[in-house]
Amino acid sequence: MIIFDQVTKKFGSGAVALDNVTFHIEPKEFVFITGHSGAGKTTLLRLMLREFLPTSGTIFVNKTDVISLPPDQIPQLRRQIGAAFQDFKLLHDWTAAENIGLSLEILGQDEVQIAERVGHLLELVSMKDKGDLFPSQLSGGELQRLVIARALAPEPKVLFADEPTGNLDQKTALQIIDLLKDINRLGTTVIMATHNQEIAAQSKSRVIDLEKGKITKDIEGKSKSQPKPSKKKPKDKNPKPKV
Amino acid sequence: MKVSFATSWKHIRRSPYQSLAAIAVLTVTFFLASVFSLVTFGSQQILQYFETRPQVTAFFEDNATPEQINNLNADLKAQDFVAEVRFVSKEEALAIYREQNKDDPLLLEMVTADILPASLEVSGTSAEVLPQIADIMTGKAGVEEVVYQKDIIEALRSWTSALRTLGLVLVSFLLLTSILIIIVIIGMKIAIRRHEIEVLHLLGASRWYIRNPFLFEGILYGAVGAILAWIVTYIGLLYSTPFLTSFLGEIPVLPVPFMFMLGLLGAEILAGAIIGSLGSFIAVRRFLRS
Repeated sequence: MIIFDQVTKKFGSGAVALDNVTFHIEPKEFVFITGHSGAGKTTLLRLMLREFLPTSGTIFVNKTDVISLPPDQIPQLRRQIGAAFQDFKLLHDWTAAENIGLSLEILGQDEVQIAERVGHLLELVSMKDKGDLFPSQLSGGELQRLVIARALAPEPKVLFADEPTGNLDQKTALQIIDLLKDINRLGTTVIMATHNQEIAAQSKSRVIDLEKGKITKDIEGKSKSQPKPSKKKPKDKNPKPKV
Repeated sequence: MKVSFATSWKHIRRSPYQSLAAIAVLTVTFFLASVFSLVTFGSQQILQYFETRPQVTAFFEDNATPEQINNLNADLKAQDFVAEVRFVSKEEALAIYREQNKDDPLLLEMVTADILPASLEVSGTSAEVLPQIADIMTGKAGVEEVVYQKDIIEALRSWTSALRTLGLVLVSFLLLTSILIIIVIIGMKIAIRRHEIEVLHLLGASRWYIRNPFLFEGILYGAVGAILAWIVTYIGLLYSTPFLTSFLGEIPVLPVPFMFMLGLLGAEILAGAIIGSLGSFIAVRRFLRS
């Protein structure tokens, strides 16, 4: 699903953000990318979104060669990746519901479809009654959940959450991780970047540790996430889980 | 498309003063363009009026004989560039004079048929043949003076041409200013929305999804400016029609045909949309490089 093969990224100043990084992420995996600030975690997301090109190496997302992608197809690539940014990147004069709906408006969905999907997502992130509030009226945990909801709106196959627990207390951080786990169980590949090694260690998922742009560890998870068994008998033999 | 229009409208509502400034500049530009179009149309009509009435008048001496007048009449009628020859006797001249000055009894009292000369009014097929007609009549026995509108037509033609050139230069200058103002205003709006645009890029919005609202905004400025200018011009024209009609006398310029005004509106909306889209397109190209 996601392939980084010998990827190096050097910036103009000479700083090396990533140094010969290679990893594969399979569909429906839950992966922690850990490392201190400046280790290169956010650079991974920005390379996946083709915000810039690597200095060398190859990147594939959903079989799309990110590096040789023509500029006019970058929007299609970005729609496949749900990105929950570290700095949120929310529109502050738009309500929570409008922020979530923006991703769907971009896809050309009509108002009815958008309202339905936004309602569902607000429920998923436990913010059903907060849709009309502006970002400045939300707490840190709610902002994080809102960003995750917006990232999930276009039903991406992969969700990249960049430091979603960075500024949160332990309890709220665990709630966010539980939410991401739930999303993963429903079939979405989740990549969570964090500087908190403890959270990653507790979760029993795969952990890729970065230090100064290099992978120092790639520890396989102790249990692979599987979709939760449904209490009701599914109508379809292979129902597509909807996040 | 609907989303782009809605976003354009949102942009305008969020910074109405910038939008009003752009619309005001375009309104002034199109108002002047309308005024110059009407002046050009009017002067063209006046010129045409004089050109289609190419007339040379020969005034006879008091002692001119009917034979001299008839000879001249016959000479003129033999020319193929002469359209019409009309003899105006002293009595007819007095009747015309009385008609023209019927509101001024003092002028009527002092004039009798004896002091007015008889004349031949000769129409040519075009303005160019007037000097030839004048040559035929000048110096003929019994002819005292020959007058024709050569000077009027030439003066009118040069005035029309000068007005047209002045209008074109002024309107071109204003159009250029309008485009620059649209570039600056749309550029400012893009700068204000830099964060929003960055978010849209990262969420996978296409280039045109981001650009279209700005382009529509420019088109809207141009079209609204053109419509407002047309309304102001038309109201001004209707208001001044009675005064202009008495000033122009029998020259049939007014009222301006409604179809002409409708055509002017259509042309101005089209020009406004082109200018607006050009200005915003340049701004978008310049400031929205992703």
